Amino acid sequence: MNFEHRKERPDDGKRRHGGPDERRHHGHRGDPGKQFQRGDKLLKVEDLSVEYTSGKKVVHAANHVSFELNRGESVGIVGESGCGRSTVAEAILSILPDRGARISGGKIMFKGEDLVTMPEKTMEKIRGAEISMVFQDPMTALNPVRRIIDQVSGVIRLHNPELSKKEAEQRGIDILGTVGITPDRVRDYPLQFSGGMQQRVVVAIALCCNPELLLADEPTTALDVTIQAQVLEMMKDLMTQRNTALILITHNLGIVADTCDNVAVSYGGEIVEYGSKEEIFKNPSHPYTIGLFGAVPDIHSKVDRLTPVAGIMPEPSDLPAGCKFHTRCPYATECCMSGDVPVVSLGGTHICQCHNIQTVQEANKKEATA
Amino acid sequence: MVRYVIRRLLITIPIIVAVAIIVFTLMYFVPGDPAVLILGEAASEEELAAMREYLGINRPYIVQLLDYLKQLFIDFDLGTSWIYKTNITTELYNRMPTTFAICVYRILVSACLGIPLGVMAAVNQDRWPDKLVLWMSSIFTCIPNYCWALLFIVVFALNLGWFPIYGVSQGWKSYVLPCLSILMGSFTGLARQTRSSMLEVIRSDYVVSARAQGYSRNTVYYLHALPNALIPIITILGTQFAAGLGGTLILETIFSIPGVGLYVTGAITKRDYPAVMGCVVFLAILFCLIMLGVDVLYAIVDPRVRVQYEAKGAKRRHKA
Amino acid sequence: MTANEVKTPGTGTPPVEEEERKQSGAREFLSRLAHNHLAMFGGIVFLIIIILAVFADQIAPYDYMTINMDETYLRPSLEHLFGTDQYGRDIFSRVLYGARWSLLLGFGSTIFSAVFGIIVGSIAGYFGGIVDSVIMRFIDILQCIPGTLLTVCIAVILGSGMWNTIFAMGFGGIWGTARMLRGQILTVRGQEYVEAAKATNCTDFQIITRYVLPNSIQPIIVQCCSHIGGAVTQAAGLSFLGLGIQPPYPEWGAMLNDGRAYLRYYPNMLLAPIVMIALTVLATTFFGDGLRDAMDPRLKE
Repeated sequence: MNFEHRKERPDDGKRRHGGPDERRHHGHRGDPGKQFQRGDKLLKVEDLSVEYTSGKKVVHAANHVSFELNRGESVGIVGESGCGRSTVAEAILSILPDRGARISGGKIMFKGEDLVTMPEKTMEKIRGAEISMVFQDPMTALNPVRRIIDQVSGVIRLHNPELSKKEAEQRGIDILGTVGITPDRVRDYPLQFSGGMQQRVVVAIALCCNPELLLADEPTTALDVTIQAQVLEMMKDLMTQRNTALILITHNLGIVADTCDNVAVSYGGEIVEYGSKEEIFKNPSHPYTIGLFGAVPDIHSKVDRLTPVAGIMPEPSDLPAGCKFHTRCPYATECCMSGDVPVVSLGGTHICQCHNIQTVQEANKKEATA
Repeated sequence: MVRYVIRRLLITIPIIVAVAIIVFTLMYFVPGDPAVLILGEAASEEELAAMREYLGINRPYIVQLLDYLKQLFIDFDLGTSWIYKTNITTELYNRMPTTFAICVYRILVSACLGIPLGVMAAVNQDRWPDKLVLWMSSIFTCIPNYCWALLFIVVFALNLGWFPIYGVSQGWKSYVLPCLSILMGSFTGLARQTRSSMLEVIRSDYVVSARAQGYSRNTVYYLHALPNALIPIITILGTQFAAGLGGTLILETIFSIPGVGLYVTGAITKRDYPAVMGCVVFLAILFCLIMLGVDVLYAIVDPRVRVQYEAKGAKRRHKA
Repeated sequence: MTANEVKTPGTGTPPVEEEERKQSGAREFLSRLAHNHLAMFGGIVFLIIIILAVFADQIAPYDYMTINMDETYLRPSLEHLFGTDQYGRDIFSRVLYGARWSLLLGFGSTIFSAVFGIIVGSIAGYFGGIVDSVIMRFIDILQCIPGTLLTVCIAVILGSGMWNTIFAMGFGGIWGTARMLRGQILTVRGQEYVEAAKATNCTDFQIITRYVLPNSIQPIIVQCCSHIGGAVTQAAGLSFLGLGIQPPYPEWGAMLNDGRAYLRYYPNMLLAPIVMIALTVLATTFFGDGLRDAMDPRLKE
C-alpha cells in the first residue's frame, strides 16, 4: 500500500512507503488455485482529483487521493458522509454523474492500464466483470420492475455472451443460492424481499462474474444490525473464496476492524491518515482519527457520553485553506490555516497528514494513561 | 388481477347509467320543441302533435327516462336518429373504424416519436438536444390542432398537392394530414412528459447500478430506466387515445372525415337529441374501458402496481 | 373576537398569517419570477396583447365592421398590415378587436371555472364525508364524457353569444379545479391552525376563507394562469365550429372560419389569427410555468 500526498516529490524517500516487497502476506486466505496470488498489485490510484461544477460553484470532492491495492487485499475508507468517499469509487468505475463531474487530475491504474483515459467501450467490459460495486441502499439499487433472476442472469450474459439464456439463468440460480436465496424465490421482484435479502441479491450480482475488485459503498448501513453482520460475513466468505480485493467505504470503524487489512481515513476529499488496521487502531495519530475513535462506544470503558467530533463538516464547495480539518481541530495552530500539510511517516505503512503530529500523539498518550 | 378487472367492470355499469341519466336530463330540458325542429315552422298543430306522439316526447319525464334506460341497458340499443331515421348503433359501428384508425395511427406515431425524443432530452439534460425538445414542444403545442390543419392544407394539399384536402377516399394519403395535425401537439407533449419522468428515474441508484454492472448507456436508458418511467407516459397515451376516440370534432369537420366526430357535430347542430345521447353514452363506455385498459397496462409494466391491486383486493375481501 | 386576533403559539399559527414571513416570501417569489427570463418574456407578451385588446379603438387603423368592396382580398401592405378580407375589412384591425373577444372568453371562462371550482372543491374537501363522496362521484361521472363534446353540447343548447360560451367552456373546467383543490385542502384540513380556529368558534365559512383557502389555493392560481391560453384556444375552436362568437364579430376562431373558404388563394387571411392564438398560448404557458416554478422551486423539472 502506498500513500502519496500532492506536490510531494516522489524522490522524497522518507514519504514513500510500502511496495509489493513489503506486503504482509496472508497466504492462508488466498486461493492457491487462482492464477494470481494475493499480493500482486491490482489497483493503483495516483493523485486522483475529482470536481463537480454546479452553476458557478466548484466542489472539490476528491483531492489528490493516492493509494494502492493488491489482489485479495481490502482497504477501508473511513470518514463522515460528504467527504468524497463515494466519489472515489465512482471515479474508479468511471460512472461519475454525467453532468458537472469530471476527473480533474490523476490516474487510476488497474492491472497496468489507466481507467481514466480508457475508452467507454472497454470500460463497459470491465464494469461488472472485473470491477463491480455494491451500493448503499439495496431498496433502491435493484431495478424494481425486473425479476431478481433476470437482473442476475442479465449481467452474467452481458459478460459471457457465449452462454445461452438457460445456462445464464442456471448460473444465476446457483450464485443466488450461495448468497442464501432459494430457487423458488428467484422469480420474485425486489419489492417482495426484505432489505437484507435484497442486499444479498446485490452482492450476488456484484460477484456473479468473479470480479477482481469489489467496491462496497456503505454496504450494510441501510440494514438492521443483526442482518449487517450476516451480510458482511457472507460477503467476506465469498470474497475469500474468489480472492477478490475490496474497497470498503464506511463510517463504521467496527466493520473496518472486522473486514479490512488497511484503513484510509478520509476528510474533506483527502486521505488524512493511512496505515494497516493494527497501526491505525493501536496508534491513531491524526486528530480526526482520534476524534472518530472517541465517537465509538467501547464495551470496556465506562463513559457517560460519547465525544463526537466537534463542529460540523465544512461544505465540500467551501473547504478551508490549509489543513481541511483545522476548523474543527483542537490542536490547530497558526501554520494549519494555510499552505500544504506535510505527510509524516510513523513507521511501517502508517502515514499521517498533520502539522502537529508530535503534540497530538503526546496529548493522546497522556489521555490514554490518565 | 382478474378479480380487479371484473370489479372495475362492475363499477363501470352505474357510472354509465349515471352518464345516461345526466345526458338525458340535459337534453330533456333544452328549450325548444323537437317536433318543430323536425317538421319546420310551417307544420300544423295536428302534425306537430302527431310527431310528438310518434317521438314519445309527450309523456312525463320519468317515463321517458325509464324508457330510454330500458332501451339502452336491456335492449342494448342506442336508439334511432330523429333526423336521419337511421339506427345510431349501426351508424357508430360504420363510422368507428375511421376515427379509430386515425386514433391508432396518431398514438403509434406519437409514441414512436415522443418517447425517444423525451429520453434523448432527459439524458442530455440542459444540453442542446434537451433545449431543442423543450422549445419544439413549447412552440408546437401552442398552435392548436385546427390551426395546424389549416396550415398543412395550405402547404401540403393546395400548394404541393401531395395529399387530398378532405375525405378518406385516397387510402393512407387521406389520413396523413389529419393525423399530422393532432400529432404536432401530442408527440411533443408526450416527449415533455417522458423527459420529466425519465429525469426522475435516471438519478436513481438502480440506473447507476446498471451502468456499474457494465451495461452500455443506451441499454441502461431504454431497458433499465424507461420501463420504470412508463406509468406517466401510459397515462398520457391513454388520455390522448380516449380524447381521440371522441373524434377530434373540429379536425373531422375541417377534413370532412366521416368519423364519429363529424356525426356528433352534425347531430348537435341539428339538435338530433337521440343521436347526441347515443354518442355520449357510447363514448363514455369507451372512455371507461380505455381507462381500465390503462390501469391494466400499469400493472403489466410495473410489478409494484400489481402488488397494490392485489393488496386492495385482499383488503376488500378481508373486510367482507 | 375575530379570527384574525387569534394568536396561538407554535404550530397553531397559520403559515400565511405570519406577516413577516409572508412579505419575505412574496419578495423571494417576485425575485425568482423576475429572474426567469422566459416567464418575464411570456408576461410581457401577454401584457402587450391585453393592451392591444383594451386600446383597440385607439390603435386599430380601421373599423372592424366597415365593409369596403373596393378593397377586397388585398395582400399585406403598409396600409393594411395583414391585408384585407373578402369584404375589404382590414385584417389587422379585426385581429386587434378580435383580441377583445378572445381574451374575454379566455379570462371569463377561466375565472368562471376557477370560482365555481373553488366553491365546489372547498365544500368537498373541507366537509368531507358524504358531501365529499357525492361530489367526487359526480365528478367521476362527468369526466367520462369527452370534454369537448360536453362543451359543444352545452354551447348548442344555450345558443351562441359571449355569456353562453363562457358558461359552456367554464362548466367543463370546474371539475378539474375542484378535484385539485380538494386534494390540496385534504392536506391542510388536519393542520393544527385549522383545529385552533375551530376551537375559537370560527364559523366554517371563516375557517375556509381565512385559514384553509389561503394555504391551499396557490396551485389553483398557477393552474388558472396556464389555463387561459388553453381557454383562448378552446373558444376559438368553438367559434370556428360556428358556435361561440358569430360573425361579423372578429373573434379569432370566427375569423379562421371566415378565412377557411378562401384559403386556396388568400392564406394570409388565416395567418394573422393563427399567429395571435399561438402567441397568446405561448405567452400564458411561459408565464404560468414561471409562476409555478417561482411559487415552489422544488417542482421545477
